[in-house]
Amino acid sequence: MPNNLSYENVTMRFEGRSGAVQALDRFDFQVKSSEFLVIVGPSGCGKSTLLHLTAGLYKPPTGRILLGGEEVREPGPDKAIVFQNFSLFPWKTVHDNIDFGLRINGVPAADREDQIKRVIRLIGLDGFENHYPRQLSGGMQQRVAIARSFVLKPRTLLMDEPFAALDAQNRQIMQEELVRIWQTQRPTVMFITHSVEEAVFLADRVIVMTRRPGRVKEVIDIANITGDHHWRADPFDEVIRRADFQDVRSRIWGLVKSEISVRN
Amino acid sequence: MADGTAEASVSRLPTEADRTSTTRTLGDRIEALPNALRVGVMLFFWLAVWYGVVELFAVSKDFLPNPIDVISRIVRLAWEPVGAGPLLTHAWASIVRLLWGFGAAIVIGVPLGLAMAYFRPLQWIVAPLFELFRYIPPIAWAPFAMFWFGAGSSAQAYVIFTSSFAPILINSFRGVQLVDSRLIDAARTLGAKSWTILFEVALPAALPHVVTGLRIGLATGWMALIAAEIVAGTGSRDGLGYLILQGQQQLHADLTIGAMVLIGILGSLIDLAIRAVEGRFAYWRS
Repeated sequence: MPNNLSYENVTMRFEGRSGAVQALDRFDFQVKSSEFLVIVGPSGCGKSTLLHLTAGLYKPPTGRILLGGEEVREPGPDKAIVFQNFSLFPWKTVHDNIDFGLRINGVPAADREDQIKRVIRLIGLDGFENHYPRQLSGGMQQRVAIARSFVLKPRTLLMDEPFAALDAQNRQIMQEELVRIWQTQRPTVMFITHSVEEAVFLADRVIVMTRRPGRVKEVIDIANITGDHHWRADPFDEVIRRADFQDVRSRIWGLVKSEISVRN
Repeated sequence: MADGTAEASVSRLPTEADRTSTTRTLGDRIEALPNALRVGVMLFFWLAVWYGVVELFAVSKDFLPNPIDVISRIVRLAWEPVGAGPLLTHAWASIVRLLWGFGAAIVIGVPLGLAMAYFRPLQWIVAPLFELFRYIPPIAWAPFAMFWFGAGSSAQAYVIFTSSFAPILINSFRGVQLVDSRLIDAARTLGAKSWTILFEVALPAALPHVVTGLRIGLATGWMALIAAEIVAGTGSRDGLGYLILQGQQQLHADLTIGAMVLIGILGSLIDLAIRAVEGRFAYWRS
């Protein structure tokens, strides 16, 4: 089953207090199946809106979003989303948070235990099954949130600044972890970040968006630059010292900065 | 000596030496006591003040009996009947009324509050009526309640209902309204439909608020109960409010004060109990 995402002239506007706000303007793009796509752009450029539309939480007034050729109409476990603030159910344990999606989607109890055990091992939280989210660090909570989505074998994984709330060390660890976890199933990833370094390290391609109303400003094909040996295959702190990495980073940062500074 | 130490620690920031200092003021000693013991000591202190004032000025028993008179009246009440029976009869009668009124307020208030937050049209329908009624003090309902139910337990339970209902409804409503919309979005993307979201996300998230509403409702209900027992006088001659009234009518100040003390004790015990329950429903909070 192909998991490519097609955006066909997607427009989105909100009715704000000071009149209508146009969040997205004819966003037109193709994401390849199993691609790791990272989106950067100035604050308020409609990145999050794009992700919420892709998840099916809202419907765009004009344009269409297709997953594997089928129009996205409602949210569902095939379009998993991971939020910046983790959004775990605080009254459920780690085990029950992960179990939630499996249970409501009718997976038989015996299979569920097996899958939960496997995904908890994958995120390295064995022994924390019966902890509540508040007993875990931010990094651990985000692992659980990723596991909760990942256990449902989503076709696309939508990540809305997932590591923004973490400290620098945890962020680095989680970036590397995410690559490892993603490799086991390779869903199509749409990843939003404010960190250009994070984008360059993780992405097959990076989209730089314009300021509001958001459109595609430029696409940088990282995989094409790195060839077969992608930067994300190596440890983050080694990669960021490389000159070719820094070249791409500053080029993208220049693009983002021009969108911030032309404001007003 | 003790005053000097206290002054010194006010005028500059405390240092390590202050904390390890072996000089302890009376205040420090009382502070160091376990909570329950401290409360007990202070209660004893105030009883002693009360006793001292009454004895010192030779106040008449009809005006203000001393605490020993009041306590012995309470103790005697344990077996000596007033009206319908001894102490337990009255306490039990009050609690049963409270539970009827409070129970009715839960049964109607919680589901209605939750539903109002979940189905917006219901909010439009109910809110104006509710806004109008909430400013009518519970005790203002008492004479009206007697038209409907006659003077007695039902009228009193109704008055309790009117006072417990508002906090229960409002807190249940707010509980659902305050649910983090990200949690609902997360549930939807995991495949949850509206009934699953209601029962597995909205309700558990709202539960601590609901329980807080119950606690406030029970406290206001208890206040209203005593007022209702005094105003909507009962033919069954029972209840703690009835004891207060009896003391007044028979010019037994010790009975009136004794009943007041009992009301205070019972009220705080009820609050303690519901706080314990509240803690169990919010175990997942920090």
